[in-house]
Amino acid sequence: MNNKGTEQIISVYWFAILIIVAVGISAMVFTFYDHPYDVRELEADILMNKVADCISEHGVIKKEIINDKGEFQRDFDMEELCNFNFKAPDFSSEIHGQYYVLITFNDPNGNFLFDKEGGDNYMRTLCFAKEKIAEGVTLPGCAKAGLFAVDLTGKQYSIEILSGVLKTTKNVRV
Amino acid sequence: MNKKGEILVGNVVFIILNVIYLSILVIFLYTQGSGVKIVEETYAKEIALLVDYSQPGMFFYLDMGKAYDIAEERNVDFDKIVSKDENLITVTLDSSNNRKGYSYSFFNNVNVVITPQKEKKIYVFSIEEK
Repeated sequence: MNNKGTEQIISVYWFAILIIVAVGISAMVFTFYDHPYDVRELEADILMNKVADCISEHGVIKKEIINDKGEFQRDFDMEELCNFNFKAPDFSSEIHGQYYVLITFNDPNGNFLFDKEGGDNYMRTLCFAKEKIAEGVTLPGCAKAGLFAVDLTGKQYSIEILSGVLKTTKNVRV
Repeated sequence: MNKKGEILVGNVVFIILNVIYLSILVIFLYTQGSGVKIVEETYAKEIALLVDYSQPGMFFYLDMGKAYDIAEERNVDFDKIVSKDENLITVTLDSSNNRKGYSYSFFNNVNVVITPQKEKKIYVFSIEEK
């Protein structure tokens, strides 16, 4: 009799444990699959590499950016030159653009010479903030890299590329 | 002898209940992982990123086996799973209740030619200059 009573108590506890485990696993699974896959860092990385391929050919900066006299062509259109389309129809209802590119030309010692932006510069501050201090899911996915190239006169430049992809609503559960 | 038999039956019932419990959990996990929304999102983003990465003259193919199975269950024509509008890729695996699938845009300003190959359960994407 005593043994049977103990068994009953154990079985009640056992079922309670089973229910707790099931609820726990369900909650974890729902939480995991409720979040979209965040591909913004990857997208920003591809964008950055595309820009790097676009501004120089075999290490020589294109004449549309710096002409054969070594002068910066300040009004070149990045989207046209690099064959980008920064319009994102799936984010047409949003105020801000979804892509951003900043190309900074420095001399080999790192002194600033010229920069050119493409896309929505709203992301400029956010990308710098993310790089320096903050880690937040609502901040854009950003990528940064540098390269060396020469212009048509043979002058050397250190180039920094910063790219950003916002697309928050489709990559983050806000 | 009789008592021993009772213990054995109890254990068997206990084990069966545990197996049923674990099976339900595994089935739940599997169905959650292969849900329509998740598969649509995965394919749409994968295709958009591959298009972004590619250059005119390239082509790539994508194994759509998982999408094929889900689309067949939901009576969606394999040829209509992936569609493109300007620079927007849309993957639709369930068109009931006027569902429009999952869309994701790409920034590469190229023309993407989409060719489904139902017998191989693959999609071929050719990248052309615009």
